[in-house]
Amino acid sequence: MIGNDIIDLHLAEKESNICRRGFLDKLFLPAEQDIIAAAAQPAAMVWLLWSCKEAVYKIIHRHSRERLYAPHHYVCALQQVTPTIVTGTVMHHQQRWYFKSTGMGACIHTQAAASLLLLEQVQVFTGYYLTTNYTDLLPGRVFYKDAAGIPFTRNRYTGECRPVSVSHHGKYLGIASI
Amino acid sequence: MDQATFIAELREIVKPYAKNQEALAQISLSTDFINDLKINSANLVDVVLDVEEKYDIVIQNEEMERMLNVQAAMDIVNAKLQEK
Repeated sequence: MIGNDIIDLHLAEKESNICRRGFLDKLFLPAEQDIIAAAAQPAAMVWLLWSCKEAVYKIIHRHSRERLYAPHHYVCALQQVTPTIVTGTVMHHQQRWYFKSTGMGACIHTQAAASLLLLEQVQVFTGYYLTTNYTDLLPGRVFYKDAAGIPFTRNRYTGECRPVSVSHHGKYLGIASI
Repeated sequence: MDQATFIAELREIVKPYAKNQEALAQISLSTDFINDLKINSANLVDVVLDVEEKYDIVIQNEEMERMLNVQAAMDIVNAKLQEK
């Protein structure tokens, strides 16, 4: 029950005009727009909150296998904000998810999990301009996706399989596993 | 609106966001914006906003939820245009 999402802030700035009329309204609830407006760096906060929604969407999708573009179903709230780490929660219907976002260079990397304990156990890999072949980055393990496109890793020697969450945007690549 | 006209107009709308230009050239009713055209999920909202502007309609959040492929986009636009 873990998910992750990575955002290359330089690429995001080029790809999206967050000031465009309707952009924030379609993606964020009024309370989330208040968080963005009050942030020291509003643009970075847009992408931080978006990465939280995406990280939790990946968990939900892994289990439901249902694809829905419903950003308003993911309600973000911040708990701790420091210059390097932001923590908080995402409510999806009645379920609460916990997230942790870290900044590295020009990227935001968010991991989400069903509990704080699980979030602490997540092994996180944040890479810059490496390869998009995840197997190269996972010693002793092979990366694969099932027929529905859900990612897993398999131990090269024992065959044991584990769910993994991967994310790639611009020059950055993220992996979260247990 | 007929299918061919809609697909041609939608192709122009998604062009700036599609990372898979080959899939864009082959765009059809079954084309998926994210899986086939490789439009990133944040840009999907730009597609929705562009469609709203092009056809002068308002797409509600509940309608946007399913707007993941060309067929769904056409169904939404046609339904909205008929309401006018």
